[in-house]
Amino acid sequence: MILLINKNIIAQDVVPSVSNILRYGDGERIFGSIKLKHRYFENLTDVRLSLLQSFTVGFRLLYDDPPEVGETFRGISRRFIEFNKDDIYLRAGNSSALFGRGLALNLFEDRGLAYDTWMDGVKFKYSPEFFNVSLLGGTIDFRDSVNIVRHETYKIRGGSFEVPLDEILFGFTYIYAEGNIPQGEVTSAIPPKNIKAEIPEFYFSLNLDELSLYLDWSRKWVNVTEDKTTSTGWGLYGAVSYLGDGFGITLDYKNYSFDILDPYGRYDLSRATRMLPFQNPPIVQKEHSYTLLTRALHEVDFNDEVGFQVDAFYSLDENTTLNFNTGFSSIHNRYQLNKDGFTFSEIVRDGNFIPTFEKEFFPYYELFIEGEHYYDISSAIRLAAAFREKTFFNEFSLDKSSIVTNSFVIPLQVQHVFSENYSLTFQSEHEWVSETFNQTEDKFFNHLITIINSFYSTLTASIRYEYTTSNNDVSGRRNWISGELGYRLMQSHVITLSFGIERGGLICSNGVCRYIQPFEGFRLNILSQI
Amino acid sequence: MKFSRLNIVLVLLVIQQSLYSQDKVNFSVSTIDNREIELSELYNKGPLLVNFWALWCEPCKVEMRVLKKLYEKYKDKGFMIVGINQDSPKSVSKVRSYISSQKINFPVALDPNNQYLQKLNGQSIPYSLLFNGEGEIVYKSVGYLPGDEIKLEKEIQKLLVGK
Repeated sequence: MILLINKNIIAQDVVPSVSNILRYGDGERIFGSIKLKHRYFENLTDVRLSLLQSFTVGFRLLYDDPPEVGETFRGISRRFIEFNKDDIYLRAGNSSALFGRGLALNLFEDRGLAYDTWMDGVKFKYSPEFFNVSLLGGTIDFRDSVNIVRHETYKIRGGSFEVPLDEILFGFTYIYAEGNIPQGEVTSAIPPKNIKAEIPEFYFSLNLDELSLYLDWSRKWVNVTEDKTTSTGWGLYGAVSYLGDGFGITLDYKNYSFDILDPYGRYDLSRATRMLPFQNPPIVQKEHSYTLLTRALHEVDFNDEVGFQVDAFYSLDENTTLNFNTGFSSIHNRYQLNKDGFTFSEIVRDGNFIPTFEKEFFPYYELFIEGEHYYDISSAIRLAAAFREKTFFNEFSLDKSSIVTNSFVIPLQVQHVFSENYSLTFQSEHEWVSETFNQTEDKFFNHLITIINSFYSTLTASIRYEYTTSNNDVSGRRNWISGELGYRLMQSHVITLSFGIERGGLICSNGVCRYIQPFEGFRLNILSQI
Repeated sequence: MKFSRLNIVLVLLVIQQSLYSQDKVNFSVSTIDNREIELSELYNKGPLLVNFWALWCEPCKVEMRVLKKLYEKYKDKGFMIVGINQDSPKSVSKVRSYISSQKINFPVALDPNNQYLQKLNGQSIPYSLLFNGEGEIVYKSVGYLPGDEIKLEKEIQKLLVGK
């Protein structure tokens, strides 16, 4: 009866869409010899209703009880109403936002890393022919993905003004925020700090046929009420790209000095003066798709890091492409431990607008090259090589000790389509790792093999095996094996069942990193686009 | 807010309505070569495929290759593709280089804050939607497996025959 009434009542001008993700896991998390039962259930339903062509109403029903990462939640976690007609856009409720390249404001969600800076408030944009103006105001309720007990709240107001002139764009952003920031890892032990922050940003872009240039600069003032102090910082990002026939090269540069402090301050991740969670600039580092390379060696420090990246794509012919990437970063200055053993003196480096290889500056660099060749419409072979080195310098010791980790990875992937009904993908990744602590060197390797069978572009069956010779893996294991079955129904519903043992590791995405725990058990994921 | 049976009924009503309704969507996108294009300008001329992809997504790049071939085969009959890139600000500067190296000749727009993906209620990529001449979505595909292009081509041909 409800279904019949509904069909008659809802007018032709109401256009709904629904997407749903269900994730269920049942198994154990492994910490050395300790195994802890771990079960999670998450169901997320996003609904959008387009009304009368100009209005959209949306909401998210969330059932995280419990989630894999984060806090239990059952109910409507998002809701909004949006108006969009001609040059005007207005949204009330929950929303994401991005101004420029995110040096002042980049609100986004990454559920896999339990990171969410979406705002609850109002967003307005007016875009006539000669300029764009955006205004927003609202609150952000930020849960630290590393320590979900910590809960920071911010009220933000601000806007952006852009003037597009054919190939050139000038932009200006201003953000004002008031925040309440717990101190330390235990929220109740130390009183929180209240801050007022102002973040202006200027950006410029030039897009010609063959050349494009982007520059983005912002400054941050943070006034900490309890300390009666004001901290300042700034960030600069630039990118230049040159394009040719079958060729493109991009140089990115970062110089982030949002909160440069001595080691005592730098390692206090809850400090009130650090780059704020609603800022998220480009990381200027390659984001890899090969599994062993996604396990990060380096976590970008937006408060004190300078570096660059060069990335080039070149097509030898219609079927063969080369990709080359190199990145290099370090901190700006070094800190010398004084003879009293407790205080530091800052030693400013000449030329600290570029990175250095000297170990006192925590250098990180990587070289990557990949060749891809299609010998058939969809059959391809990909071979790559990547070298990465990260130095961790022990500033708290007078003996200038350091740990240098380097990794050399060779991934190989072959995807062969036998017929329209069957294809096979074979992937092998081998990694040599060396960790050097003063004179002691620890060497080991990791190896990963994945085989994926695909039938009728509907059913997949895969197996994954990983092996290490390291004696220090947090799980205490040397090998991991897992299998996965996937079924795609009518092209827009995907069911995946995986079972076995997964190795964890540090996974970073969009500048946010989280350690994924080793897991043994099974997982069920169902994704639907209706 | 309490999660209640009313919430479940509400979602079921919307799902049921989705199954009866045809989606009709129109919005404008800014392409990497500084053009502003409205989806309606494109689907009014013929079938339009909107494809969400990213540089870090390997199946997306494989799919883009077959989409390029379909585009070259049917573009003269009115078929159009718009690629909407989902790379965040950290990678968006490399998109033009990649497009140039692959000689992609259909429009590509940047969506670093996923606003277009949210408009079409996408949850993962690659995600492709095929629009008919009325702006209605007649085919959706999540993910890419070899062989998907055959199903997609059949849908394109149906629309071109009916045109």
